[in-house]
Amino acid sequence: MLKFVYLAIVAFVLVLITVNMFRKKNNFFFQLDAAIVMVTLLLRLLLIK
Amino acid sequence: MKKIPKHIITASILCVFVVAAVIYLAIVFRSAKQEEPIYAGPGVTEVRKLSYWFPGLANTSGDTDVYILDSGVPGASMLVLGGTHPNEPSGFISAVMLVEYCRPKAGTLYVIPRANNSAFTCTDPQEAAPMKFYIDTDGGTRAFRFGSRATNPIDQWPDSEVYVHASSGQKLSGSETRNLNRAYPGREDGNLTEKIAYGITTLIRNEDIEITVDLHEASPEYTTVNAIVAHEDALELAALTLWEVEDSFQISVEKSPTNLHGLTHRELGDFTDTWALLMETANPSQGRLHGRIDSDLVVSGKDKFYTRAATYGAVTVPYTESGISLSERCARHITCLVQFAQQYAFVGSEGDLDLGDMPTYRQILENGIGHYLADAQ
Ligand SMILES: [Zn+2]
Repeated sequence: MLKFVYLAIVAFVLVLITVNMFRKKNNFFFQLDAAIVMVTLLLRLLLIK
Repeated sequence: MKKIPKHIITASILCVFVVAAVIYLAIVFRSAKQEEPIYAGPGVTEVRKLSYWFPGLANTSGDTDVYILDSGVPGASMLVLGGTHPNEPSGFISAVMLVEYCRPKAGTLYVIPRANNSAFTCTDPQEAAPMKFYIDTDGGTRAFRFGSRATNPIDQWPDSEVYVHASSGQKLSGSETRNLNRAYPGREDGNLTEKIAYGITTLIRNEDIEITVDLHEASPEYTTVNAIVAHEDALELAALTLWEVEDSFQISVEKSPTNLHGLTHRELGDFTDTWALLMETANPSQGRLHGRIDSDLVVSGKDKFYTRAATYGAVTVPYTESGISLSERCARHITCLVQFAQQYAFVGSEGDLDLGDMPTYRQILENGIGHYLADAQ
């Protein structure tokens, strides 16, 4: 049960980061940071790692 | 036509990279679930799953193979646990060697090479540990997984802030929630790690196992290393073994502390009739002082930083530039196991236990542990 609460939190944070990545203008490194974080969150959301 | 803003284009390209990275990493991490083969040797009479004793483990990553080596001659029984901590390879490889080489002449040997099967499917975070290590056998090189100290978080997550050991109420750091050697005697309705512990405890009870030995390694700077830790019931057996092996190598016997809970040498002795023992060898790939960690460090045990640390007295075991090889660490485990079985005749009451023709400490050192493993197939 608690696992799904945590996965929901991961999914929520992932959505926020993705939205932010598309909003950020003139800052490629911010976008790159966001992409790297997305990889780790996706791996956990999909229960791969 | 309206021009697409530059930041939308870069974000879209990055998304493609994210998907590609996730696919690639999924393939890499999934490969850790692929079990390395263990070849049942001439002594193996039966292979069962741990879920045979505790069906609650069926179809979970905690279920694991139990190899039964029944000599056909009635006598005592011994259970050997390898891979309680899959980042301590001498325990795992010693257990694999028993399965592939040992042929008991009296009594029955039970071997669980991958006691925490789930922990074999990942490595510890921040350690930069290799996913595999390689051992040369007489017929080619075999790969074995280097795993984690704890159950894969994919199988059991999240950890609580504080881990409360169920039967004693002892409080430990939350990360110990996934440590099999803090979960005994285990719980039928507990988390996966507690269920694995419960399965092993049930096996010991149902099969009336006389001796249980849990094989471990620790970092060379740790205090309990090159040691046998024995539950008070098994203390005499450990002392007799010490006498027999101390001509070959230095080892100490420690009594299991009564106030440290969840460990095999405490709980299996308290909650079952088995004589519970645990062994530690010194593993330079496990400590905090080693350099680059790769298969070579795991197998050769050679590390220049540990050599230097030893000259400062920062290491609790003898350590030179020739290192402490996996063969040497397995030789320690195997020599003591053979002696536990032999010495049981003097202090036990359930008949003989004879592991048959096993190599001596010197022979394992000379020929390498790979010589006693099955060829690569
Ligand atoms: Zn250990």
